[in-house]
Amino acid sequence: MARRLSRRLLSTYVADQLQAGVSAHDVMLQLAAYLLQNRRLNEHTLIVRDVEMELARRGQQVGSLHSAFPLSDQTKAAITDLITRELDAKSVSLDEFIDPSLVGGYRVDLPGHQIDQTIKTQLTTLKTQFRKA
Amino acid sequence: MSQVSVTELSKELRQAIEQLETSGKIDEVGVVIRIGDGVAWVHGLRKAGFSEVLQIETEDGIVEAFALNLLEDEIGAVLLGEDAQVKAGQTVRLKGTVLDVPVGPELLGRVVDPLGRPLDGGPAIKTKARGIVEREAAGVMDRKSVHEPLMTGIVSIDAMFPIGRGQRELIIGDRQTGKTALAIDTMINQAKQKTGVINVYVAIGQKLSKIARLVDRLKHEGVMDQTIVVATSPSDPASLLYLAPYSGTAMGEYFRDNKGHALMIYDDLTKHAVAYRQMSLLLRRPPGREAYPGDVFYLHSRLLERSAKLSDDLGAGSLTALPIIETQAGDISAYIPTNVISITDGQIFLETDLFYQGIRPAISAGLSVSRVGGAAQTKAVKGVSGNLKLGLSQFRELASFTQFGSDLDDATKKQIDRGQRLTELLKQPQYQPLSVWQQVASIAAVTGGHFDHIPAANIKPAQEAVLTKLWADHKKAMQTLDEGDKPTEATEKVIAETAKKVAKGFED
Repeated sequence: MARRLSRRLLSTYVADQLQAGVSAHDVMLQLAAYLLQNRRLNEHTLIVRDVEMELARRGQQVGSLHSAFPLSDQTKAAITDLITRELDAKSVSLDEFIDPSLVGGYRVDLPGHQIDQTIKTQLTTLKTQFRKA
Repeated sequence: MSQVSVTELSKELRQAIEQLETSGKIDEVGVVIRIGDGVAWVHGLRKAGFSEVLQIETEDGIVEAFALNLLEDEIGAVLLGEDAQVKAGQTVRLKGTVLDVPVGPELLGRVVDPLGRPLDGGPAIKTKARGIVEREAAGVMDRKSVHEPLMTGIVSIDAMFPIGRGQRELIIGDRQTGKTALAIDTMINQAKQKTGVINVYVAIGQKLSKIARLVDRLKHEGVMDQTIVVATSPSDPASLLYLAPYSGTAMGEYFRDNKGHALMIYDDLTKHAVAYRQMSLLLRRPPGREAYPGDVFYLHSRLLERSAKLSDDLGAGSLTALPIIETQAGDISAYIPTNVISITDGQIFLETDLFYQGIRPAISAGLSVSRVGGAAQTKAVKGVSGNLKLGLSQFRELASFTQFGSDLDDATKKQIDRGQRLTELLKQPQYQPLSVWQQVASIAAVTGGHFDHIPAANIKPAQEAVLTKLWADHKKAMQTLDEGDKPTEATEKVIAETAKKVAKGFED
């Protein structure tokens, strides 16, 4: 019986293939066949996360930017610069979302990392601190 | 309800706001992928360390957990609170610290949970120091041999199985045999004799009604001022039951490290092992004997190793431990009892049969032992209790023969008579620990043969009469004796004469 491959091994393989220029469609087809054959379909979202993290480790940061109000181009450039500098990224790609429930500030979700400058989180932190006291 | 000061509240709020991070910091985060039975499985956070605190952001605030299973692809974390608010997909952050609890004299007189949060309805606890919950035990060079006595006030223990400061002495027995009662009496004695020893009582999965009764009793006896109660109930998550003894020990260690003396009571480690088994099985660790995980020995050995007598260079403080283990039908060869017996420096075994015969405390003279306490026994008690244990063990063996009513030689008959009187003497009501002089005078009266003509039923009243007379007529000599030094010939003579005189009034 073949050895069960860990999620980390699978994600490393997928990232290798994508970086080698193999089309995403072919790699995903291969991965889907493996997961189906090994009855591991329930792990597919986790493997996608693992692949994102592996690509991020190799310098390709793909994430999302959430804010309560639209951000200026200057602010967005500063955020991209910060990510490039702090995470040693070669490329940064952020999808933008407006979310009024954040009250104010912004949040960047990256694979395995987060910049959270929202008022909503700060209020939650305050709430917890006061409950502890 | 405590009074609310608006000025203080606004000051607190301003401080809290100032403490909030405002810089653009990139945090490492993970995500909850599964949750259930108090265990959260987290994806990401590859830098997480063992036992590190994780913070899960829920809609209702932050719920803390600690990482116990570090796997290749995910982390198994045990929640420190209710899991109702935690959902899959929520963000998890590293707190950057291992678990710690508030420690210090501010906790004295309080009932707290294993995270140091008050349970007694009192004000918030603000301590100057915090102690690490899972701390390494003191090393060889940091220690000193056990040499100072920790008086329990229970004659049979102090005379036959003396406990020293820094010792680990197990209290073991079936349910309802008086295990907790021994521990409570020991705590009461620390207050009555003004030994300055701080008590830390750790209730692991105990009924809240029992804890409430215990706290009431400690308050009534005036012991609560030098006691910390760490309480967990059967309805608490297994993680809190698991943490309770470690948190309590961190609180006790504060006093040990500051030249003080503390007494830890873990009530009981059987429930602790069961809580750990539950957590381990939920974390999918392989089960071993009786479904306990492979490291259940290490669970208790690393806890009890923290009890120590520190060297003079480190302030000569001490942490004494009285762990409690509940057996099933007197079976001390079960898994957890044998583990803890081999870790501790001796055990006090309580027998159900003795308990129901009215011999209380129901200490088995044959199966109980104190491996290091002999060096710590007060000279006064040592001087009179020489072969008490041997005599009592032999008597209980011989007593079984007398049931057949066979003819006995004079020597055996004498031994049985003396044994019956000793047994009566060692009976002691709850919440009435005896001081050193009371113990010495009582034992000397019986072992000196002065009570040989008193019927066994009259031994206790005779003992009380001797003690009352000695205190009334020779208070100064008794106070000197109470200091623990070997009794002088004059004192021995005084005790013998008083015992003889009093005994006449109780003979048939």
